[in-house]
Parts: sequence; structure tokens; C-alpha cells
Amino acid sequence: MEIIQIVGLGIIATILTLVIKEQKPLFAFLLTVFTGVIIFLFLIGKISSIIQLLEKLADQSSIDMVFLKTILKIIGIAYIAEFGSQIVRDAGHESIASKIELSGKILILYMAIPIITVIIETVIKLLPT
Amino acid sequence: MLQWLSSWLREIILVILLASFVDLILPSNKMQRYVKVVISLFILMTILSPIVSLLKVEWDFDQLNNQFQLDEVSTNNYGSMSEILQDGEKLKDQNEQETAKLIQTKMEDMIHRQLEEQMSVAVQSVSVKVLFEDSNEPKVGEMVIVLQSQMKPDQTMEVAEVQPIEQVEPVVIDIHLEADDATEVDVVEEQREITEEMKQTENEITTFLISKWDISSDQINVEYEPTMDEI
Repeated sequence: MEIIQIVGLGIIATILTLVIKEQKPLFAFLLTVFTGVIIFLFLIGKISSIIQLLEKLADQSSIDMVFLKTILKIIGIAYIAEFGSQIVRDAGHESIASKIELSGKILILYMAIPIITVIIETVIKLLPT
Repeated sequence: MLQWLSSWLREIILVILLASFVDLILPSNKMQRYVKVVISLFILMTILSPIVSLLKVEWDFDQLNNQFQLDEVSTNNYGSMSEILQDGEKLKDQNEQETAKLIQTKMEDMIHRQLEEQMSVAVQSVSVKVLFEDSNEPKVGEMVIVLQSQMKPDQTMEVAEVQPIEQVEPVVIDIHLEADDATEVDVVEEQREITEEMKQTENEITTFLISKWDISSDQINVEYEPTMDEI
């Protein structure tokens, strides 16, 4: 019943943020960040078991572990960028949020470089020279 | 070949499963498109993996040619696989026949001795047929035991000694129609006695052999040596 705990924590944090926002907007922002981090920490155990499942799948399909690490890194980048951009957007800074998203996208493509090179090489080798 | 195909298919299926799981745990926003592109590239690479491995190998045609020639030479020397297998089968058959022969002579000897010692019957000859069934284990097919028609040589000798030669009584021949019938009946009775006695010993021998050699009764065939009278 962790979902009840998480939802309760979220509702309480929201009420507190609404109360504080009038007097101290900075503390309201900090409270939002901490709530987000605490919810993430709650879920770390579950995420690790999901990652183990993915690793098992990759192991059975005899995929190179480097590629699995790449995929996991891409997922992590997506999550962190999403988290940061949402918080910043809540604070009312749309431009910074969009920059965070952009950097996330670029890093994801950067991670995919090895896979893309392998595919391009294969296609080029298939063509008669 | 089939194994390689199945492993390749398994790889593809598992990668697609993995991709769908990753898709499930993705955050539901703008990042999704980018991550999906990368994962689809990954699936494409897995599907192309046989071609990749084919292109990685540098084909040396001289070496391939040499290997081919070597293969030809080796096939000439040793013959094809089926020939080798046939030879093996022949050798096995020969081996089985020899084994069967050995077992037959041993068993004949042993049964001969056992019967003479324990049953005190005069055995003329014993012949055993040993067959090799599918299970590669020798089995007793048929057993023919030929007994001497006299019970025991020394017994008959005794009988011969004890019986004095009786004086031949004058033969009175009465020609009757009834008398003829009577002699016939006697002869039949005599024969029956003999056969009953023989049957008893036959049964004894059969039970003895069944208990000793663990075979069924219809495999045993007890015969009597044809006596001089019969001939």
C-alpha cells in the first residue's frame, strides 16, 4: 500500500505549498523539490527490480551488455530531465525548463551514437563498392 | 542451422519484449519520441546481427579452397559416414554371432552335465539356440534335448544280467480270430506304458530346466533317441 503513502505525501505537500506560497515562494519551491526527491526514493527498490528483469531478458537474448547499459542510461536521462524540467516549469521559468529538455534530448542521441554507427557501417558494407 | 535460426529468433523476440518494457517505464512526455527512436535502432541492429557477423569475417578464399580440398581428400580416405556405419554394423553382427556360438556351447555342456548328475537320465545330446533380440541381450530361443531311450545304461545291464534265459516253451499256435485281437491290445498297452514313463521324465526335465535356466516351457523340446526296435 505504498501508493496510499505516496499520494498522501503528495497531497499534504501540495496543501503546505499552497499555504506557504503567499508568504515565502522560495520555501514553497524547495518543498516541491524535496517531495519529488522523497517520492523517487520510495520507488528506488521497485525500479531496481525492474532493471534486474531487463538485465535478465538481455542476458537470455545474449545482447551485448554495453547496449543494455546504454538503454538504461537513456531511460535515466529521460526521467531526470523530465523531473527537472517539470519542477522548473512549476517555478514559472519556462525557458530554463525547455533548455533542460533540450539537453536531455541531445544526451539521449549522444548515447545512441555507437548503435547508430554500427548500423550505418553495416548498411555501407552491404552496398557494392 | 536450425539451432542458429532459433537462437536468432529468440534474440529478436527478447529484444522486442525488452523494448516494450522500456517503453512502459518511460516518462510520458516529449522525451518519449527520442527514446523510441534509439530503441527501434537497437531492434534493427539485432535483426541485422547475422549480416553484421557475416561482414565482420574477412573471407580468405585461398584458405577456403584449401579447406575444401582437404575435405575431399579426407572423404576419399575414410569413405562416407554411411559406409563407416555399415562396417560398424557388420562388425557388430559378427561379434554377436560369435558370442551366441560361445554361449550355445557353454550352455549345452552345462545342461548336459546337470541333467546327468541331478536327474540321472542318460542324455544323448543337448542343443541350444541363442538369439540376439533387439535389446542386444542374448536370449535362449529353443532347447532340444535328446535322451537315450533306455533309462540308464547300468540299469539295463543289470536287467539283462538278472534275467536268465528261459527255456523256450513249445509254441502252440491256436488260430483264432479272437486271439489276434488280444495280442494287438497288448502291444498297444506296452507302448502306452513306455510313453507315459517318457512323459513323466520329460515333465521332470522340463520343470528342472525351467527352474534352473529361467525359460518358458514351450522353448524346451525333449526328444527320445529312436531305439533299435523302432528302426
